[in-house]
Amino acid sequence: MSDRDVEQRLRAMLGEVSRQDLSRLGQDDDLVLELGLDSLAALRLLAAVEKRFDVRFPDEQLGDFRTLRRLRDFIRSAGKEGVA
Amino acid sequence: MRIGLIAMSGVRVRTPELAALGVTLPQFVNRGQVIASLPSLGLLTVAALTPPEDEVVYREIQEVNPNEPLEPFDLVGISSFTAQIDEAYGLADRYRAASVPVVLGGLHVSLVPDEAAGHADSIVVNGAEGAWSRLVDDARHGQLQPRYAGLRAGVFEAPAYVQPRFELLRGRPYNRLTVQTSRGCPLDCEFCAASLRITSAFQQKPVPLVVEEIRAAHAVTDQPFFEFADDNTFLNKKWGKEFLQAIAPLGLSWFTETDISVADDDELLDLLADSGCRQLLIGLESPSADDLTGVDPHNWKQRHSSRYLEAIDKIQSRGVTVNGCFVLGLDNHTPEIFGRVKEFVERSQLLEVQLTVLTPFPGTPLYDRLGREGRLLRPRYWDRCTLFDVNYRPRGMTVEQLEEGLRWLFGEIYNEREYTRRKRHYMEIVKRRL
Repeated sequence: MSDRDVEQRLRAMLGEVSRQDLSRLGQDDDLVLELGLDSLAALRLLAAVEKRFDVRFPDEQLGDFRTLRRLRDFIRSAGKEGVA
Repeated sequence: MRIGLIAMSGVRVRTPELAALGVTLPQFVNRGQVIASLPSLGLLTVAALTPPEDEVVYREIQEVNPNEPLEPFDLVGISSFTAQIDEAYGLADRYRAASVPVVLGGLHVSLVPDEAAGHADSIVVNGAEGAWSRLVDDARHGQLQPRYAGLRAGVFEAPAYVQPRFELLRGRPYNRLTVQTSRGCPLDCEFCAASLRITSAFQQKPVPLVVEEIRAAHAVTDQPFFEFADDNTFLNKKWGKEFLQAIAPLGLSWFTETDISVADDDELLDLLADSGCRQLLIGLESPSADDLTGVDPHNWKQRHSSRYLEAIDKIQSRGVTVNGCFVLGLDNHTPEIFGRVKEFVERSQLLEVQLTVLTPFPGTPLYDRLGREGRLLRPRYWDRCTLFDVNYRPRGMTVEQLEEGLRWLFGEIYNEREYTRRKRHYMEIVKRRL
């Protein structure tokens, strides 16, 4: 799965949890500060990513995954981009 | 007339040691900050009650700057939390000195009307419905009366009901928008200083009106997170189900306050999850029944406390988080309460926790009782009604033990490790439901 495909899947998941228009969201935009994602929605996004890509974010870094690029890079580094 | 409606917002902890903790602990004072940043639904309702020929300007003031020039108005209405009422009085005094008539209203004013009257040309007690339109007309004719009594019942029925003017919020950044579905709560907890003090009985808004308000509020902002500004939203389970079925298609994420009995109804719990409920704030007050004697006149909470753990698990297993509220310093609390709350939080896996100190807000039965018992530390302490500062002598411990215990518990519950543990637990629940 290409980076673009992974990002598209991430956008779909983010759309589900945020229920917002993501058309102007860039891959480096902060999901909390710029999209206004609340803390529970951010956790639901991480949970969905973990389940669908079969990855596990380090507990102590849960607050660090706040851009689409960071999420995508983590999935790629875990070698699970083909799972979802 | 150009009418300024001013909401005093923002609350600060007064005890220096606690204020310092707020800087270092991620979740401490979190709920207080959320409340302080909510729009004033009361003043949006006042705006809607204002005759259309008058211009309404809605303002929120976090901190009054006495050197700033006053915005010009023909009439000013101010509403404030108890903790900021002195700043509200100061602002009112400045407007009056400039010959601008001032009206004070809201919960604090309703509970301490004689005090408020000393800083206003007029005060409104109870809800604004049934009072404000007449007040504006009187002001227009220079015949403002010193006191107006709004309705205590029938506020959600014609002719009293109006839809709050949500469009006044357009262009402002809010984390959450509020819609009210009810006023009052029959549990009548002794310490409660919420809307039950300005209602004669529990009042519930018809579902179609709530849905219209949600649509109206949604139209002025991209932010879809709603908070239902109620004391107890799901008291009436039949109404609750009708309501949840109606809002499920709206695609909301939302939060509200209710009591533990929601867990008794599986259908209601499923509807909560399906309609986008993200969190229920529930006043547990204390982990065990012995502590809860007399918290409410019928000991309702005491009778339900044995099922707290099971109920929290049932709710949270739906992906709906529980914000469990504990009030420290109840009459039956001794210094060992802090350890017991910590243990309960760990056992219950509560995803969010609100720790506050028992606060005798003026005008409440608690305030009257503690005053009679000579246990209030100061005759007047409104700026310390923050829910974190201690203003009375507890029965089962000293003031210092309560303050120290609070600080210890804040550290135990709100530290990064515990916060992370709660976050991970929530994620695992969400994953199981996907």
